[in-house]
Amino acid sequence: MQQNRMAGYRIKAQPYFRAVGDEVELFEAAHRLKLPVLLKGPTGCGKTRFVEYMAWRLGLPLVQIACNEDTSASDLLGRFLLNRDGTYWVDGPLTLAVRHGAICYLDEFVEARQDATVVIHPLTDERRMLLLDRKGEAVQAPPEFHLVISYNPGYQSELKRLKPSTRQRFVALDFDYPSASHEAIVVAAEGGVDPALAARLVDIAHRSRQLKGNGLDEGLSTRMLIRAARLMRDGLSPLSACRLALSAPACDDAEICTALQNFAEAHFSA
Amino acid sequence: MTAMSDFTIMESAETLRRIDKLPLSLRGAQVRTVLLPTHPRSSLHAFLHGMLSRRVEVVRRTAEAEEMLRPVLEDNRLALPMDSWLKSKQNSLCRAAAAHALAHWRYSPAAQAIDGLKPIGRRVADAIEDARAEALLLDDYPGLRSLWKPFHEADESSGVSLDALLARLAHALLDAEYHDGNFWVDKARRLFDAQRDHLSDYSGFRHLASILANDLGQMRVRFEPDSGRYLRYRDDNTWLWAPDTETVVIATNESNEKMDDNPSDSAASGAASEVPTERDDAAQATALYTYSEWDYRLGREHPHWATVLERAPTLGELDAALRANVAADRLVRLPHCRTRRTTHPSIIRRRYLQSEGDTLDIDATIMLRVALRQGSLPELNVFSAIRPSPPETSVLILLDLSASTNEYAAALEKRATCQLAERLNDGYHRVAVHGFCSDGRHRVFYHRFKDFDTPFDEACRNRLLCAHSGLSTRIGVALRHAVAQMRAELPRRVKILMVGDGEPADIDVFDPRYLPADVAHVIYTTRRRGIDILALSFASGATASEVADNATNKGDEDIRQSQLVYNANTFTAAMARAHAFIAQ
Ligand SMILES: Nc1ncnc2c1ncn2[C@@H]1O[C@H](COP(=O)(O)OP(=O)(O)OP(=O)(O)O)[C@@H](O)[C@H]1O
Ligand SMILES: [Mg+2]
Repeated sequence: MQQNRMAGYRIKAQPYFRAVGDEVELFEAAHRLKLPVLLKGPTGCGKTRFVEYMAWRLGLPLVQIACNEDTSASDLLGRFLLNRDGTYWVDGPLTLAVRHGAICYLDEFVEARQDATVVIHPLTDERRMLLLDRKGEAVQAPPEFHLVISYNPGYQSELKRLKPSTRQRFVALDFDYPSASHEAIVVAAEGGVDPALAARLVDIAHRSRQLKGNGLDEGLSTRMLIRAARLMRDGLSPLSACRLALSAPACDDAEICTALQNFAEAHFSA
Repeated sequence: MTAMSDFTIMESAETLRRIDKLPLSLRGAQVRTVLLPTHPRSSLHAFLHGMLSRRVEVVRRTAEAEEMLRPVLEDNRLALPMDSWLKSKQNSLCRAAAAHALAHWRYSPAAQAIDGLKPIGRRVADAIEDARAEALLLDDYPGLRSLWKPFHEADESSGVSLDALLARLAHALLDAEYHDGNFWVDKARRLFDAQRDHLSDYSGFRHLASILANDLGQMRVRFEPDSGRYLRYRDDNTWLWAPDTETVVIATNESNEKMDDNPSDSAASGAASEVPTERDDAAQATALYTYSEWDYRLGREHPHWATVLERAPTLGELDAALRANVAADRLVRLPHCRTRRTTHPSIIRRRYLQSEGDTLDIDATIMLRVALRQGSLPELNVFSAIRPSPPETSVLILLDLSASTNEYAAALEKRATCQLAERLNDGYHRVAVHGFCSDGRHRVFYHRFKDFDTPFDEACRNRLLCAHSGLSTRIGVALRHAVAQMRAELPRRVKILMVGDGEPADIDVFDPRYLPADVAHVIYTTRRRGIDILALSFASGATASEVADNATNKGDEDIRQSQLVYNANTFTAAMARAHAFIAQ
């Protein structure tokens, strides 16, 4: 029953992940010592992929929760529901992960509501305990359980910062877009295009990242480049693929979109 | 890129350039720098910024209608002669010119010595360098060829004048498919192609150019200055060559003059204010904060660059006339505008855990049942309701207390502030009144007349009315501090109303563009964060109308709005504008 419950959370095949530095060893060390991990980095730079890869490597189920401003404590912990016989408790995803010793990945954790942030406090210090106050239960985390949260320091306004009391409970891994050559290898592999084309896409992204804070909140991410590459492989012309996957979705400012498309036009002619 | 948006940006850059030309002593006094309403970003700026990894300016070069001007390059600026270009071609010429400038900035060495180069030799060297730089850029960015190609039209029919030959040469060097047929052009193409594997060897191509110039001499081709007819996207290449000695002399004279200006300038501002000593500041300041400042030349912020000292204001005598005016203002009826409570999404919210409402909050209801069965004390607020939320808008009025706001403007500022603080005390708004002045980047003084949670009482009003104006105006840093104060006000709607003369200045800044650019940057980033900002500017009658006149000449509504400067006669209009901003 327990195994079945988690079957859907297991990662069956090895995810493609190309390490930039020693992040794999560092994560394993943190896991051995049961230290919760904070992944810092811009959107689409491979944080989620890294966690998937680590879950596969460590042979642990992975529970992912995308947080938003409506994510409350009960969304993480669980809640009472009603049926004919009265009320019954349903575990939330975090509780599930704790009970079954999974890796729990809270994506964009700063977005969550205040009451959700304090829930993880007893879980991330020496107690390693989840308190279900509504139910009156304390769940002790097994040794395998590992809490990972992600955080994008870039576009988060100053108004949304991790509180020191939360931040200081974590060890942190800094993610950033990798070097151009490394990123091109990832784009070529994931997008299924040749390295020269991937390198051109990466250059477009590098140009766009110069504009961060100057009209763009965030430069083009690896994720977007991979999408553009796939569209090209599927037969779309390079300029159409760049418009569809890069310049149009990147922002709403027409001038900036034009500039982004101009970067693409510098590489590819119509 | 649309021609229109490009136009406005160039306008503001042009304004700044005009200020640049003025003698320093005039800059502060008679010319009002424009507080750019948003960050000036056209796609052209953004394209160059991304490609160069640094910020450059794109400005408009004005020309007489018939003149054929070329773009002009400087280290950080590209001037485009938009007026001498056909409307229908402006867009493509702008892009081609920007890409050509990019080629020079990336690959051409600047300010080369002319070294006795004859005029005809220089023109050939120019043409070869243009082609070399473009070819280098095309290696990385082959797509740019299609920007330039349409302008390469010269061929046999263009003739064999120097201008035509050079244009035909350029055509042959850019377009592999084009075959010219002229002996000299074909030879040039052959020699150029032979060196294509060594494009980065600048001197090799200078040598090539001198061979070709020699040939022209033997062919008895007459020198003629550039007519500007061909390849209009290409700049005049002055940037490539070192200025001749004459210009250098003029430049040094100019800078000497500036040096003479400065001491008297700063001495004047020093004398005008009783500058408190360093020790006084430390004792008086209740808190210290550091902030970064935007440097437009670097295109990034100097971290921890400026220091804000919070301390009580210096108080002067209470001016009876001002006091009477404030009392009179109280009687004036303004068109009543209050926050439109029904339309703004952030003001109407579904509130949970209410004691009454239109629907049950399911979570709360279940908890109620659970509590009842457990026999513990139930929470009875199980409804949810749509409610307007009381005090939703927080307004911070930031007052310029510097000496540059003369007494006339200062009085108007204080009247405006008093009136706003009193009228907004209506249960829907939270108001704070802060003020600032500065004395160099490490002494930005910040005074809190009224905080959000303190009442606007008689004592508070008196302090405001008596506050002494002195020192300078480092708006950007003060604004950063004000924004930091607003953090605690979230998630209410937050607005900052700056009341002053809209003119940043400080004793340790001599570049007239630096502080305005910093302010524009703060405003831009703050607005992106969802905090609204309006600058309400006051000045004495003459200055006010002059600026307003300037403003009406401009087509752009946004610039005009932000440029409006009010005086005593237009005080009511100013207040209406402030109220409209707050109600927005
Ligand atoms: N080092 C890498 N190895 C393999 N693939 C990578 C790597 N970096 C990025 N990717 C690719 O980039 C895509 C986006 O990465 P991912 O979804 O992990 O981003 P993220 O950092 O989690 O973004 P967000 O913060 O938006 O969730 C992945 O689907 C993957 O294809
Ligand atoms: Mg040139």
